[in-house]
Amino acid sequence: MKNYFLLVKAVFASSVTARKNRKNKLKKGSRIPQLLAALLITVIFSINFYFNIFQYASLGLSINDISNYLIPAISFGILYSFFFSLTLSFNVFFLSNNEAFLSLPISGNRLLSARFILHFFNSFCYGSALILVELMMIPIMFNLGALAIFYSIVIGILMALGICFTSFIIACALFYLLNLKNNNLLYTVLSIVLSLLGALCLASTSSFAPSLDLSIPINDGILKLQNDLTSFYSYTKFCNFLGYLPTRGTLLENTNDHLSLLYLFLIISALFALTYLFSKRLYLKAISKNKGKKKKKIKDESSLSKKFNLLNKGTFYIYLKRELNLLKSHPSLIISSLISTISIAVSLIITGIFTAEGLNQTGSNLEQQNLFYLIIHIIALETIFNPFIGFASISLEGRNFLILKTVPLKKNQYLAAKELPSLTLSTFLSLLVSTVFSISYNLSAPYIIALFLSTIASSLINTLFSLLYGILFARFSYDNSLELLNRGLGPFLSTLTTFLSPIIYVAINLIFFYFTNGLMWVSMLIGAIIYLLSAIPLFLLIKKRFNKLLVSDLNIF
Amino acid sequence: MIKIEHLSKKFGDFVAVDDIDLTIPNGKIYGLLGPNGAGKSTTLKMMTGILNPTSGDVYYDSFSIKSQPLEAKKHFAFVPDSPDMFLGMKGVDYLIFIGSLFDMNKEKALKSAEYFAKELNIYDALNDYILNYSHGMRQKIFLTGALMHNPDAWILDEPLTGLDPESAFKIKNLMREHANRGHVVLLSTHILEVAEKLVDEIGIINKGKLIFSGTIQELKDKRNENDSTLEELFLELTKK
Repeated sequence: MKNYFLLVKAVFASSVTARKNRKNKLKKGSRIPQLLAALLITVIFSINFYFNIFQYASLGLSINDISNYLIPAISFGILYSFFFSLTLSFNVFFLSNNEAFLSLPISGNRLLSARFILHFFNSFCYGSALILVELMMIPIMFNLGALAIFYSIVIGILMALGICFTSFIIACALFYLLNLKNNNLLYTVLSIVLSLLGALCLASTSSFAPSLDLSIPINDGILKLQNDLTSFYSYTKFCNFLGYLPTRGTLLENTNDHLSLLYLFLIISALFALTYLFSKRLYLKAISKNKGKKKKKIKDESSLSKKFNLLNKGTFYIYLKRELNLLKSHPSLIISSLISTISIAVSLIITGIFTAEGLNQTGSNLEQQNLFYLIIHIIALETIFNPFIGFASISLEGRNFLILKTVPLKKNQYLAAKELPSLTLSTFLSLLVSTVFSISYNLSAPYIIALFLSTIASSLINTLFSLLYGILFARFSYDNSLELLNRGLGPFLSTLTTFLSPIIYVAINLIFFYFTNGLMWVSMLIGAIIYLLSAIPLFLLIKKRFNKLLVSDLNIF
Repeated sequence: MIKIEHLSKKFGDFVAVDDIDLTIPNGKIYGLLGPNGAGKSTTLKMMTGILNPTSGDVYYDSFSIKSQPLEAKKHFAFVPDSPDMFLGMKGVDYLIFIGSLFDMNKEKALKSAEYFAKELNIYDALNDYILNYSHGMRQKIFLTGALMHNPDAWILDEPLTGLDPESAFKIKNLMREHANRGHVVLLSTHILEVAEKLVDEIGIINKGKLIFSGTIQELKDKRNENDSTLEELFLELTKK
């Protein structure tokens, strides 16, 4: 038992470097507790969630109407937790450095179980914190009583456990599928079949809620989308079912609902147990297989010459290509950033559409109401698009930075190449969400232009700030690139800035709103211009701090 | 020419490098020797901009590494002892990147990269990721990158470690040719036999201080031990 505990400790240490800095706990490299990091994410989500519930409540809408918002909101909260857990699962089980363990007399079973404990700890911590807060908010806000709160907690825990188990199943299935030729075909096929069966079972549990009225007031766009995705209808119904349970279940109305949840959990647990049993035998082979690809030789001198044509395209292009290669070589970081950002963007789109639908129903003055809620959604929008890629980009250089310190680096182009990927991602998603909002709110042309410009400006400022924090809190020594997002003051400040930035933006808007005879689009335009102009001194500051970093002593070297 | 003036480095109270004064003229291969922890790597890192000197400066043909770092860096190429960098890049992409840093045009960069890659037997692996290279191959790709832009000074930290005999032989020849063309080669090494046969002058660092600088013959004359090998003289000097 003691040996097993030591193994778990070693696995934990190999995945997350534990550096204690007693003097300054929040200095670079020190560890922000997992719970605190999870709490921060939960706070951001919760505020967004609260704003939307509050909007509906203040409009005097009924609980059924609010359920229609809650269903997709909770569903996508669950989906976000699921994708995050899936990324963690992949990282912990299949992307971690296993060399230290493979040469030791440790069975595959023990290593797998030790890694599962790590995965469980991370997944449950993040997943349950988020889901629990969302689910508990409903009975608390509507004064449904202590029993309802308790029930929400139970549902939340079961959901978090289910997510943890399901992400393990899917990660295993995906991994074995990707490495089909290197693993036992029978086991691989069995894993995939089990996962598919599991997904079907989960979808079919919607039939256990015959009393549900799942008609949701939707606009034409959503209806069309749903018609196009008829093959996924049972899945959306399942999502609605999951979202429905907390609202209906807290009222203790339908015993079938409780049994359905238990049934769901039992199915997932059984599937997890089966996958785990198969993985026990496959794991060691899976992580010790030869990952090398067949070496591609240079065909001839002309093919080499073609590659060197890049030099004619200019230094910035080469720097950018190098930057994209660098990001590509850290798949866990990129996947987790992309998945979380995209899933949140989708969540915002859905909640925004439902908010618009709700406003349409009240018959309020859409132009003024929409603009007000538009601002609220801008707040939510910018809060979420935390450009992790920009923050981590300097630190991702790692030991490369040793060489970069010794060469005549063109700093403007280098920093621009660092900024561009995160700016592109952030702007693209922001504009996508803005486009959906523009359509949902039927905005006029001036407001659309102002909205687009403000999202571009906000994305620019947020990504520049992230890059600045990445330079100020650069760390070139780490075991796993995901540490860059979880440890130290830098990620915390980066998240805080993306949270405060839109509030400042809205404050600027409101100041100018009073001087522009209530023309919100003019104040938004002015705010956007101010933000865009702020980018210049911010970039100069970034360059100055980068110069300082280039000449500073870095302890790892 | 490399000129080191009163170069010192302190880490808190610990003096890693203590007031080194040294001039390495053009046309020489200079070997920096010393036991583990003597301060060789620290000296090289200060010379190349990796570490900030506590005091003193380094000049590359009158360009100071402290006040004119950009200009100074154009005059040398540094190859570190552990080449575990740029692992996510292909060898050819790394060479293109180096070419862009030194404003090389395509033809010159291509010709130079091809030449050195073939000389060091790394040409066939250029299309592969550096992550998949062995230690020796990584050493070679970084040597290729360092040599291809023909810098005035080569600063090499343990350049022969991990190289196969053929590549080590070729590197030594390349060093000799580079020095013969009127440039500077500065290398640190633990292999005293190599230092004895290859270098024109040596500098011995012990406990942060430069305790000797000159030719091997001058060292023998100074110690009155003409029959001793470099190894014996070195061990005697660094025992103190």
